[in-house]
Amino acid sequence: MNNHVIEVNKLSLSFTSYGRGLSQISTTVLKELSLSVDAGEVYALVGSSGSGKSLLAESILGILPKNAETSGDISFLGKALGVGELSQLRGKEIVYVPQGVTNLDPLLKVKPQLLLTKEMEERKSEAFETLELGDEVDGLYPFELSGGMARRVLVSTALLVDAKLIVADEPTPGMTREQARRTLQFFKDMARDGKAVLLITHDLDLALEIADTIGVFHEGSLVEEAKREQFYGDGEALKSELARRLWRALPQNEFTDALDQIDTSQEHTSLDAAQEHILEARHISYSYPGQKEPVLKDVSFSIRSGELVGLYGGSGTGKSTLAQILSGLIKASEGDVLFDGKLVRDMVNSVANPVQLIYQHPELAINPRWRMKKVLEEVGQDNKDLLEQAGIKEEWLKRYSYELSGGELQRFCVVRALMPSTKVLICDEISTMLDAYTQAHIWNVLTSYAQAHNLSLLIISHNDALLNKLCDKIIKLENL
Amino acid sequence: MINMRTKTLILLSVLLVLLLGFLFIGISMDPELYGSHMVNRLKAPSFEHFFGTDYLGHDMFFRTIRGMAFSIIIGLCACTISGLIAIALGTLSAVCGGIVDRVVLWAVDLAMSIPHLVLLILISFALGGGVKGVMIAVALTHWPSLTRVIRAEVLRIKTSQFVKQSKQFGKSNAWIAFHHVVPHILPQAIVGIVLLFPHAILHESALTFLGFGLPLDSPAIGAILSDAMKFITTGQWWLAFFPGLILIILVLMLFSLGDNIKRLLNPQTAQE
Repeated sequence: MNNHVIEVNKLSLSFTSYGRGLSQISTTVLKELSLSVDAGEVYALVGSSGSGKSLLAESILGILPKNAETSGDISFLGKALGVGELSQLRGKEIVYVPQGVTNLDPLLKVKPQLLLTKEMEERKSEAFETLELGDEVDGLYPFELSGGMARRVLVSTALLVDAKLIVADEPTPGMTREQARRTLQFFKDMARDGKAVLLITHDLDLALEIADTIGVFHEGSLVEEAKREQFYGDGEALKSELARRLWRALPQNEFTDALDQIDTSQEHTSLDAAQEHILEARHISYSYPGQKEPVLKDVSFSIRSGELVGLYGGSGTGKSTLAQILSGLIKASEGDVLFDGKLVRDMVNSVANPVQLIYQHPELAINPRWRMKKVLEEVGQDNKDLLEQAGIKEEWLKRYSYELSGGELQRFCVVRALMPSTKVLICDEISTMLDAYTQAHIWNVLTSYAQAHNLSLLIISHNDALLNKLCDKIIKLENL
Repeated sequence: MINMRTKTLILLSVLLVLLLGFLFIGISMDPELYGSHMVNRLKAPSFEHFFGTDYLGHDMFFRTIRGMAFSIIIGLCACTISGLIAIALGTLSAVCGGIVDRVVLWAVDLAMSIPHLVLLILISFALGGGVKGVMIAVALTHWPSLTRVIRAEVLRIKTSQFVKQSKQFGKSNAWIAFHHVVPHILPQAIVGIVLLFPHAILHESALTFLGFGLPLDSPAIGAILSDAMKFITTGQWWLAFFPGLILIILVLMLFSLGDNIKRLLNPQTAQE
């Protein structure tokens, strides 16, 4: 008799999809995956984006899409369970913290959305306190929450019922390091109370802080299962090359890209201080329609050409709004943005804007009915070297956006924004959803391109380690 | 194993054969075939008269085919006219916004606030009934809900991030309309129009059934059914049964074709 709360034994999962014409093909995503989580344990499943981690969670919860086929078995508290039985435990014995903020009902305010029974009421105020959510959040609709707040609301659901197993799928993106740390601590405390926690994340760094066991996941199977203590130094205690590579790709380690080993931090020499200011923000204020309190208040700064500037701010401080104002998509309530002395707002929709913006969610920024080839053709991007550098494979060009992972899509977004006419590139949290390895890769591509083409980058992030590593200058939004 | 794409393709071919068959046979049929032959009054279904005959000795099989052909013509008219109205108004309303948007929405609300059948009767009656009345009434009243769908879809695409990006890349509004908006609207419009077809057919029959459409002696499904009601109590079940069955089968097939196309055109459900 063991005390595994959940045990997954040789789970395989495949999807059927249409090939050419009427034929159907089957793609295997999980290959004979086995793992178990004990009571009181935090198990972190770490893997790159698009490797199928979330599918494991969906299998455990019995919420797979209809075209999925599974084999192998899942047992809960020593009892083997089928899909139907699993979905009955959901919300009672097993709690799921989903990845996407779209899992909140857009038409319900937060409070009625969360509270299904009376007992939840008391637990809720406790949960909100730990997660730094004020009581006013109760009465807000999901679209009124910032990315990080919505995510914390999702996390709070884990506390509302007394479950034996908590499955959390990427609970921390969009939070500052500090908030993420506290949130994870929260999961750790739950594990102390005798619950089992299965944490699915791309962020090895955060996983290391709280997990007891770390499973490194790659292309549908576990390549390594290691205790936290085994991650140190150059990763000599790790068995697989992949786990070592992930470990070394963390910003506080070398941040090297195993693919082509570009090391940006040394190449980037300090800029000539006499360089002209290319983008200038003058006294920008902005308040959301219908709200009195401005989210941005008298923000002024400027960027020189070729400069890498970091913009740091916590969740909900108006970073994304500022990004859109800077690229001319939103009009500021007060103040102007000037590119080379001209108003940025006048440039949208006429010629290619020299100020380009890359969004946080690549899946929204790409037309879902287009193949990727067409996405690149839209901007006339046919720079083969750049595509290769960004690690875009030839066969991806034939796919639609839903057939690619977030990390793969973000590479397309980066590449298409790097047009010859682009002079300033604003990156709005573009790597938040990505694993350390893909992150390092994308930043290396961007910084080396910027270096070669005298492009300015404005990097918006809540990750101070990343900004410190990349940027010449860091602006703190709170201080402006 | 038969998958969804194959199923839809089979359904589509069967429907096309049926519709075109009804249409051409019905139109080119010798009027003698569905005419009155008083010797064969009220005969039960047999190999000579598949669907039996009525009290005037009409052969119900040929009469049903002739009636369906007429229904299909009306359905096609309604699809084309209402479809065009919906696409034009929906797009106009989403693109122009402001006063145009308000006027279109007001018109949609106005049309929808009157029960559909009452509106049909009103128009048909005002135009003096008959073929012209039915055709115009059915063709002019099926656009409101599709207009709303198209408007919402155009609005969604217009404000999406990928269109914002396109603007940033310096693309003109015409380019965006053609490359981003049309590919999204087209599937919606196709599905909407396919689903509109069975509605139009049913409404045509209903109008005639209630006596506000075609004259009762004409070979139309509504007229046949209305006439047959009198004979159900006296045991001539075949008069209502076969024409009604054919109508229902065709309508159900059209509905399920529309649903299948909708699922296949949506990337999220296309693989199920």
